[in-house]
Amino acid sequence: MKKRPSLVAWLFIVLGTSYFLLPLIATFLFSLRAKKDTLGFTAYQRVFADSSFYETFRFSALMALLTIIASLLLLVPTVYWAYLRHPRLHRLIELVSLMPFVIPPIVLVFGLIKSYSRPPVILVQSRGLLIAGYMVLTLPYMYRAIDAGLRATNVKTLTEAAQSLGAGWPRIIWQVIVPNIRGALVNGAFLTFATVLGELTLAQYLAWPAFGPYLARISQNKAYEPAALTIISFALTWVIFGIVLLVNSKDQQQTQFGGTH
Amino acid sequence: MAFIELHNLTKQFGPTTVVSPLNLAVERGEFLSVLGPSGCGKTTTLRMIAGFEAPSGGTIKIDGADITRTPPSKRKIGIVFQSYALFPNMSVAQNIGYGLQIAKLSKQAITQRVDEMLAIIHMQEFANRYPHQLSGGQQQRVALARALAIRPQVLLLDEPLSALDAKIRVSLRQDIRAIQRELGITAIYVTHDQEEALSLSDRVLIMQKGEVEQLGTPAEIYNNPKTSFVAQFVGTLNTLETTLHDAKQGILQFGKQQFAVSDSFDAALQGTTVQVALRPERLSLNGAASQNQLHGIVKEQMLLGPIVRFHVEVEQQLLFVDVFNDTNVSSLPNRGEAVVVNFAPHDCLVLER
Repeated sequence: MKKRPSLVAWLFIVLGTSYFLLPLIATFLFSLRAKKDTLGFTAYQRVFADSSFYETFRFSALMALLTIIASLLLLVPTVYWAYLRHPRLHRLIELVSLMPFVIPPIVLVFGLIKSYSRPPVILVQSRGLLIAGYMVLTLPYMYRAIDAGLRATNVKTLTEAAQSLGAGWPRIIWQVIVPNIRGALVNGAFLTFATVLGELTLAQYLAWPAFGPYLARISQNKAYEPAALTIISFALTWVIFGIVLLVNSKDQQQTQFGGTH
Repeated sequence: MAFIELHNLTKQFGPTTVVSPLNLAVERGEFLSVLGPSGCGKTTTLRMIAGFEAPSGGTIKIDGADITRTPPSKRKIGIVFQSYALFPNMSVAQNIGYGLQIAKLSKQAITQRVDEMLAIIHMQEFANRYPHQLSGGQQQRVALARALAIRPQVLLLDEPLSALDAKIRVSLRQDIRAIQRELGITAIYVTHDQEEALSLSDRVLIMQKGEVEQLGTPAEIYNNPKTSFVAQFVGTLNTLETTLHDAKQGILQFGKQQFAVSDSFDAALQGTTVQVALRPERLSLNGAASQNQLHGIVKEQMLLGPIVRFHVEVEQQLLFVDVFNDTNVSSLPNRGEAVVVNFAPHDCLVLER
């Protein structure tokens, strides 16, 4: 017989849901009041009529995707290698991954500007530097997601099994490890996407037309549009990752080779 | 020349020697079990053969070729792990076909070989299932098929049945042996289960603290253990510490009693301590007077299914005596009853150390 959740459990569920949903509902209701005494989507119409909205969102979404790809390419093999061959390095990597929580983005961005605005390496006008900065900012989320995925998988034995069948390292990572930590990677990517999309400091000081600075600018000048923008970006983020999850679950039903069908 | 040759193979982790210089020759098609307690170096030896651990010294040769420094992916060695290690993201057929795909066989050849392997493990109808949809025994069959599909030179099995329940263990070990015989593959099987090792193997290698204690056929290991460790480790055993009373006649003093062994000793050993092992099934109670006799008292009687085990106190030491659980159980001695433990001189195993 299924055990029913207790009253206390329900209380905490309601409290938790309220904590997340109430501000969102309040923001949504506020965004509908752009015209006096009527509820409507005027604020949304104004946002969609603004070409800066599309340009900045497209730019930030692209940067987020590139950050995710670069982070995965760098971190998956690194964390996997540390897991397999240098378990003691784990603590060091974990410590490094926490640095963005300790060092504020403003320090990071001035460090980047100071280091890369003069010879021998001038990168301040390169998107690569922005992506690198985003990679540092999102390192805790991506690293922890990959680490959790690897912890939940019998990495060492699966690797050895694949090796004994003739697989080399790239094949093992791509065909054995990545598919088995896909859920964790999607989680890491989700957090990275959401963080980059709303990021303000790096984009502002490196002077890129990103969504974060656009949101800040609108917030300074207007009342209802920022609320509408918040709801839109929230909805967009969830839609994008709904699609990712859907694609992932469909990937599970892979095509077969060999065997009796 | 043997098919697998280990020459002075050693492994050290820091200052700890896990495997002392090990020399071993395994013939083509042989089934060799490596048996020993946890931490004896058996798995490390297997992992060195597989290429997962680099030896600290010595060489490994397979079919005459030195593979000591060859990466595991190039060794053509099939491995079955204790934890199955099936790829969770792949179906049964994909798991079995994975090594063949890497070897770049045609799709048709892969399908054919996967079907062959599925037939061998009697799991044709499970081809499209995923590992999480299989029982432990089924997963291990798939792991075996996957390891064999690449037609390896050698099959290594690292405690493959440890995670399974007793009944499945017995049926699967019979299957493993049957498949190994059918394919004629050379197999090295690591286990800490003596029953598995004795029932499956052509030869058994007993290891302790990184050293070889004894190598021999299961019958040799069981009937003629060379060391007290082997004697104690394999099967149940009574070990008696005696004094050599008459070296020429092979008479030993055990407390206030004496008995004979079939071995003769150097006269210089007269009066020294001799360790003798006796299997419980070789002893009988109140038997023929012509045999060795030790007087004692029954302290315990335990029914172990087909046998009844008596704990008999002789000279303040408990001896186990196994008697068939036949219809005359009622005629067997009770607790506290004085009995005579009988055995033949040739049943005494004089241990080397």
